[in-house]
Amino acid sequence: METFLKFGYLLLPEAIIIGSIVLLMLLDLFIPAKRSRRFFGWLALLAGLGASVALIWVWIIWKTHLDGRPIQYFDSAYLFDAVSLILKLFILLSLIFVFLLSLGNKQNSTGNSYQAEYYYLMLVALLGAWVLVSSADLITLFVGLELLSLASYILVGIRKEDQNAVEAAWKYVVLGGVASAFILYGMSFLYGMTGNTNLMEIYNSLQLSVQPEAILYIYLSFFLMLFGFGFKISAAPFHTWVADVYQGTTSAMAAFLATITKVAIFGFIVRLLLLSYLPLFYRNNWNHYLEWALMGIAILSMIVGNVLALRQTEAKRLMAYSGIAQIGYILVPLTLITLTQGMLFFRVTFFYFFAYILMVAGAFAVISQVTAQAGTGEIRAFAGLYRRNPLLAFAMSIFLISLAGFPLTAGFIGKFFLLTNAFMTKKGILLGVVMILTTILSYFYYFRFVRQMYFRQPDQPERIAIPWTLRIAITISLVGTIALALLPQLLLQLLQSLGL
Amino acid sequence: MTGEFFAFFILAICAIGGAVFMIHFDRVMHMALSLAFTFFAIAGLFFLLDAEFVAVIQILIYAGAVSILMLFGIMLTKHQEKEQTFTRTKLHQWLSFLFALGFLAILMSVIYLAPFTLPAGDQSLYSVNKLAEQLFKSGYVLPFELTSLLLLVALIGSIILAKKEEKE
Repeated sequence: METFLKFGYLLLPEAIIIGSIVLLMLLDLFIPAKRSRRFFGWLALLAGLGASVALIWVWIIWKTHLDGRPIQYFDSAYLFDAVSLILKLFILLSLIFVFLLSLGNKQNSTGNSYQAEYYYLMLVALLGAWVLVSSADLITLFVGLELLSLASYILVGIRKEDQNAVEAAWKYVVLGGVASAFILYGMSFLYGMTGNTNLMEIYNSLQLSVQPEAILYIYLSFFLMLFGFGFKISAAPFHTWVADVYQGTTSAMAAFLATITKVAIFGFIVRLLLLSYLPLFYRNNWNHYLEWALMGIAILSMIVGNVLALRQTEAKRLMAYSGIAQIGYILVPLTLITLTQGMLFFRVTFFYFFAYILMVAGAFAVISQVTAQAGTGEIRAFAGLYRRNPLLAFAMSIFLISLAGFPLTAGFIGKFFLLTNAFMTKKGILLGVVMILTTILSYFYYFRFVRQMYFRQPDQPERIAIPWTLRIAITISLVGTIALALLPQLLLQLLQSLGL
Repeated sequence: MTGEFFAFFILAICAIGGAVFMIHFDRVMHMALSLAFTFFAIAGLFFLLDAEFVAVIQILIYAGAVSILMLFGIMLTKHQEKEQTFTRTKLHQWLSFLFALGFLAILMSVIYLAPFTLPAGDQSLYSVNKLAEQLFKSGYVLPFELTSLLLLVALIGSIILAKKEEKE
């Protein structure tokens, strides 16, 4: 409690988010039912911007006054350290993109009903994601996970009049519930064998005092949690729900699931592996199985995601499968963490995640506008985009070649870092080769968009107009994608200065 | 064959039986009742483990509130009494069955390969007072507070999703 009183000001961003959630809920109650609630989006965006200012202020204070050392609140149930700070920034940035997308056009959010709920539930999901990336206690982690998951279930199903959205929400809630149950079951074994919910204490007892017969339960808990996280982060072979959910929901919500959820769950996996399960990887007889399980998930995600994406004709489904493949790429350094001794792990992964957020948010921004105007989600909605709006076609091409990992884009540099990290070890060569081969495979479907945009005649000749909020989102992600490719050292130096 | 073992056996059969019937019954009402039966049996298991507080909570919340709420919900809404037909393929059913069986086999083999040899802890250490102390004086304040937000979100979400739209 003392640390909370002393360093509580570092949690100002969280306080701003909680405060805005409560304020927006109360405001929703006191405004007459007939009034439009469109402006809630602006208020939520304002809250997000306020929180980002606070986050940067907190960062500077932490760096200058506290020498950037990790701070633990509530018996180290909640951490403030470099990893949580960076992931919180990523999540907040993604949320601001999602808000811009939602404000862009009506089809993107909820139509006219439930505008207020839509926006404050997004803030609740943000809070859950933040808790997920910054806590070091099983119970707090689970509450954070459920905050994020519950809010996302509701947000997917909030457009009740749309049959597809209802189906997507139903699938998401059932499979998400099963995944949560698996995670909880795994946690119960971990707690039962170590007698602690704190990740660092679990690390200690796994290293020192676990009974030899109890170690089997620890492995069981590891695999149970792996299943659960596989579902939540949408890695193969637990990916079956992803495409249906993305297709059924709006582009803004799909961008939300592709960025915020994945970043938060990834932060959770990293914490759990590095703070708790790491001693298991140094035990002789079983470490190969654990490594192969992780590597298998990464390899399968890359192959399954890219192969299934080849057959898709629906833009959001295609993005869903491409997202599975991207998760496969991102998991590569994590699976090799014991072999590379964690060298450059955070720098490489966080760089790719930043590039990933920018290009995915940008791509969904373009997709949302183009499909909304065409009235269809098929890729042929992009036919002749070059004639209808050259700049938009150019932006989309940049995002796509970045996703495909072509030079002169952030995606290329990021993938290059991932590959060098993989080739540092013998086992990683296999992963690196799979990554290169599947990347080549992915050119086929990313260039299907490009072919439509440049070489097909448009169905409707009129120009595509873009609302200015979407224009801001696309500009930011476009500039970011190119700037990150030209000046990658800026981000790397920033990460280095945080000791990552 | 101690009395405890006997009681455990009966309660376990009740719990599993209730769950199996809950899946197998055709009518929603019967499903809810057999689920309540399972909840009661689990409360009994908690009593056997000297976890009186959890047992009472289990009866109050699950067997009491949740089951009653479900029954009210079923009685107050219209629902089809007729049997629903599922369109599942045989292959799908077999695959699901195999996966469930494999999972059970793994769990059982772990339990048999690694028996608990440690003696049971002293139960007097785990009183309700201690529970409250743990909850409010240590690191669990934060998840406790966040849970209130979680419940609020669940409440709002269920209202949004279940509310009937008025026609304009």
